[in-house]
Amino acid sequence: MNDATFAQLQEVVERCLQPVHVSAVRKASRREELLAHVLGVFEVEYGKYGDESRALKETLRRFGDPAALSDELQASTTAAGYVGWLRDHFIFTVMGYRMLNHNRLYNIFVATLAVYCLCSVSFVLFLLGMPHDARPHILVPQWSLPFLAVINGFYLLAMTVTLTVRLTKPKIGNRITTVMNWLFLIAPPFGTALGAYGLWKADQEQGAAVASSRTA
Amino acid sequence: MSEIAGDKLRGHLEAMILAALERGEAHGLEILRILEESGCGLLKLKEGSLYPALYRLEASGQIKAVWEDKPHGRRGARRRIYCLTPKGQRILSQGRSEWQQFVRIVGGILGAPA
Repeated sequence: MNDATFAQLQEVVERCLQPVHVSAVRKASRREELLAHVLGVFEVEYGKYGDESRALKETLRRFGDPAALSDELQASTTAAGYVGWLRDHFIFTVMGYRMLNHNRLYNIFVATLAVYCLCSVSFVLFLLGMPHDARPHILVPQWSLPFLAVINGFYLLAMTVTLTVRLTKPKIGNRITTVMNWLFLIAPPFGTALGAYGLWKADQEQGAAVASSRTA
Repeated sequence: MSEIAGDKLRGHLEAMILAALERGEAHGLEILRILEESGCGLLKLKEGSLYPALYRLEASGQIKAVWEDKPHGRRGARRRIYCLTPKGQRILSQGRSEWQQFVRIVGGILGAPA
């Protein structure tokens, strides 16, 4: 059997099952069984005619209308099967959407904090560029300004790298995000909050996203 | 004799599947083969329709199924092997009695006793 024929048989089975509301596990089981059936019928028909296109045509004729079968399969679904579909639907769509939102939200928070650091570094550099006696009164001591510039500059650079890697190479981004979150924890108050949030949500979900992309 | 199509089989398919499985365990395609042979080639049903009936019977505990060990080719797709349960056996016996009664009554009305 060539790949095109196999793909057509798979497609027919999929057309039967796609609209049916059953749990993902049960759907996978039915998919395998129906596929085994049409492949078995195809083998029989091919043995009779020795021609793939004719065997395929006969297989599809014997199998019947996919839409009608789909209705029959749905009608044979029990309440437990329907509940399984609802559960899977909730997990895959609603929860999946929320998971993606946490990652997006984390990225937005990091980007916001990076902008804050950029403003902070710019302001400190501006102050350092001014004559000592012309500087306005600020809450932090004058001697700490170079340190503030270096620390904020370091965080700005780290956040830019983290965001870039998270968006371009999620697998490596996962590890870098973990390091970044621990660095955030020692930078109160916004950094600490973001680090805790990242360790609680973003790290897990980034891992899940990588795992799911690997599976796909 | 004319062929017996799917519509006329409605309501009887499940009992016929139970009867086919009474001979021994079988997968879907095998059940169809048994039904066709028993019907002398006059029984015509869309093969896909067998599976909803099998799932209903399985859900109601009249039959049970296990996956075959190896797919024997078929690109990795395995078949499920069905067999009758004691409940299925009881319902089959009950179905036979009901069918005999149905044939007796309807046959009498039509003037064509069994």
